[in-house]
Amino acid sequence: MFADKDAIGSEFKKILGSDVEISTGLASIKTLYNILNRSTATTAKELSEELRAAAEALEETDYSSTSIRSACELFTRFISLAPADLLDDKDFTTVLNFYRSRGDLFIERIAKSRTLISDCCRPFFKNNSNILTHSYSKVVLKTLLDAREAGIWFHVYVTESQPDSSGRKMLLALREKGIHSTLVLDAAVGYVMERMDMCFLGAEGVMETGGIINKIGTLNLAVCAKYMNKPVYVMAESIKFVKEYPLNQADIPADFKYSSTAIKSKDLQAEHPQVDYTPPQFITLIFTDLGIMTPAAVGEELIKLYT
Amino acid sequence: MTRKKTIEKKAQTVPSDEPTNNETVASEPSSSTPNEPEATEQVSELVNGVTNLSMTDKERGEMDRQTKSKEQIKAEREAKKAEKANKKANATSKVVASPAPQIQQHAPQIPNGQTLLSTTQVSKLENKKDVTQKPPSPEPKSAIKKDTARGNREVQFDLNTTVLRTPSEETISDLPKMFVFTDLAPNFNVHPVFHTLAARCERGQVADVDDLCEEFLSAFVKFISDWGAERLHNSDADPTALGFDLDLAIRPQLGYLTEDGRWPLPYALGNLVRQLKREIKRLDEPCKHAHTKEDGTVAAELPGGCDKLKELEEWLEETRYSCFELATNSISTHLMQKRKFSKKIVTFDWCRVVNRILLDSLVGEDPDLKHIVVLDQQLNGRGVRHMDTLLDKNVKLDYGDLRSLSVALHKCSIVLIGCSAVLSNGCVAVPKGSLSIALSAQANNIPFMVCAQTFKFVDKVQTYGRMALLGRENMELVPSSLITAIVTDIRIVPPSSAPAILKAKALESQN
Repeated sequence: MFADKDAIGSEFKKILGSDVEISTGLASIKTLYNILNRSTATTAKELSEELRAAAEALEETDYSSTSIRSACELFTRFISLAPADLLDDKDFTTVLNFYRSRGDLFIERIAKSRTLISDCCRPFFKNNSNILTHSYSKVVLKTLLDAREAGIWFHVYVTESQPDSSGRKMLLALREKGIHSTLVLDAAVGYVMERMDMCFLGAEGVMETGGIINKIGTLNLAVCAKYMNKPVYVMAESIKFVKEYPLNQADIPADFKYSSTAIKSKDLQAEHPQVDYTPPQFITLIFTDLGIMTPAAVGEELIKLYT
Repeated sequence: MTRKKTIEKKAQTVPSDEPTNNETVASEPSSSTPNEPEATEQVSELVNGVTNLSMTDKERGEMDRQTKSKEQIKAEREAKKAEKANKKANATSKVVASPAPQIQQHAPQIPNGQTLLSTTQVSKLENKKDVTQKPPSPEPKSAIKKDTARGNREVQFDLNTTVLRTPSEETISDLPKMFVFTDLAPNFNVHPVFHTLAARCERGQVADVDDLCEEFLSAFVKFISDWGAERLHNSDADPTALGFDLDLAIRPQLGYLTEDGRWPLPYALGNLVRQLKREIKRLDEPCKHAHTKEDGTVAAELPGGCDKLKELEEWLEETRYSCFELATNSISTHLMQKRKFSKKIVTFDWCRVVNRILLDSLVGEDPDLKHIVVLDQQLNGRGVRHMDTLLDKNVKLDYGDLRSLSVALHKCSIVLIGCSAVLSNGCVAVPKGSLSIALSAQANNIPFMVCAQTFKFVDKVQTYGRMALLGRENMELVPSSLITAIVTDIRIVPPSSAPAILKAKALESQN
């Protein structure tokens, strides 16, 4: 009855490949939406089982499982917020149609979120400032490009972000649009920090603590910034809010830390984690499509969403 | 229907004069009258003398002196003396007369054995009070009052004024006169279960706020069943004013527990009482869904609002179940997510939720938890209870006092502590000694976690030196910056989310 796991995985990759701009979270939501559209479920329970199985299949791909999990959970939660009397309807297709319309609404809202974040961020830019960023993040890139288009001059320092050198990708994207930028070594973060005005970070997931899980090396940057009193701004869509409460680095769930292929095949003791957890005390503000938040507000927002 | 309206409505139906009560109320001001004439006399003398500093009066006095002859002044003085003597004589006769009606005032309630009063009786009283009430006599505003009986001056500080009163803290001063306790019949309308509860607390048989809340709930169930039974026999009782009557009836009980609002109820208990009151208020609201039988006719309600009381009892039982059993279960399951991570747990003092979590994480063939350290403020303290339950489990167990803190925290995964309240600013009220553990945990980068059921979240930020029932509870505040996480029955939350929890659970004070 349920769709094949591989089929779901390939559909997800197809959606990701079709649009360079699309985020992992949005792509997984679109995959779920397609499954919802195709669904022939006759009860709410059946439908939720179907969606859950699909979400599990998506998490088994090698993309960031933090983003996928949060997006899938929020999507399922959002579409199922239906009035009680509708759920009593004997014909489940009316309920399904309602869910589909909610899904449409959700995707429409999520697609706008980057623009909203970019708008939120604009007043924080100053002319001739130095900005440090880590790794490659689509939200940060969009915000920087929008600010440049608005006529603000700034210099961006990008860390190389090993092991996959995603910083180079960021550097090329920035230079292409004519933004002054410099590539720095991951180990040089402490050295360059004193000349920075602010740090911009993306996030794979925003935790209930208000801390973030992001590409390895983020914590180093945040600690240095805190020590030198530089503001650290995080940009994350609200679909990245995760119901998870890591207490420290050791407490990050293994499926967040390692790719699913590494978990299956290798000895994790020898494996390098791909992400680290930056606690909320190192973060100044979080820019989301819901507005600008302090890290403490994230927990409250999640309680509102899931109670 | 609001309280005032009910009273007014009842007042119309009740005949307005009843000799004994009328006397009672009329004699009320008598105790204060003896002081009055003397006081006014002194004041008038001062006014006529030199001490009055207001210019216009002074001038007027001089004018008078010039116009009056010496003889006139003499005659006036003599007349005043005579007046004084007269007043004194009156006053002493009143003092002699006054004690008798005071005794009468309480006498009618005791012999009947009728401990609780219905609305009608209360409204009668209030009505009479309104009719015969006199304007209050002017009292000296200074804290130093002249006590004529003892003949000495003493300073009377009103200790109660410093205590901040919130809805959960009971005062009985706003009740009709009949309800107020006096030396003659102390606590005559307090149900025995509350006497027992207070006595148990005084003897230290109630370990912590969890036990206290649970005992309070079960005591309240007993109280309600007795009260309901008594109400059945009372033909005057108005079935539509059940909640109002019950609200009046519980006030003396709570007033007794809080010593007339002198001490606030312990945080969590205050929360429960507030919810309970909200529930009682709801009793008077008309039923949304009337009980209908199968044949379509509306089922007759049981007399005396028994079904409503039964609902309340069910609510109490449900609250007890969800606050203690369900909440503990879900806290334990939430911490299970961290089970892989926690190899060595340090705990402090006794908390039954923590104990339950420790026992739960030791279940199974090869539990991840290998080592438990229980610390106590002093050796052989309350932490020994943990040891009693954990001794026969297959786990390394250490026990010590706060001096062994540094050894305990070595290679520790988490510190887990129970609490008596979480304040709305994220501070947590924990057993004394926990603050030093929190500080050392932070210095050692060890997560400091607190377990709290959601009913322990209170919409307050201040601390009390002393509380009702638990006395000077063994408690201190840990600031939110030292707390890594609070494990609640909803989920694991940061301390900064306390207001969100309050909102989600509708525990804010305005509700």
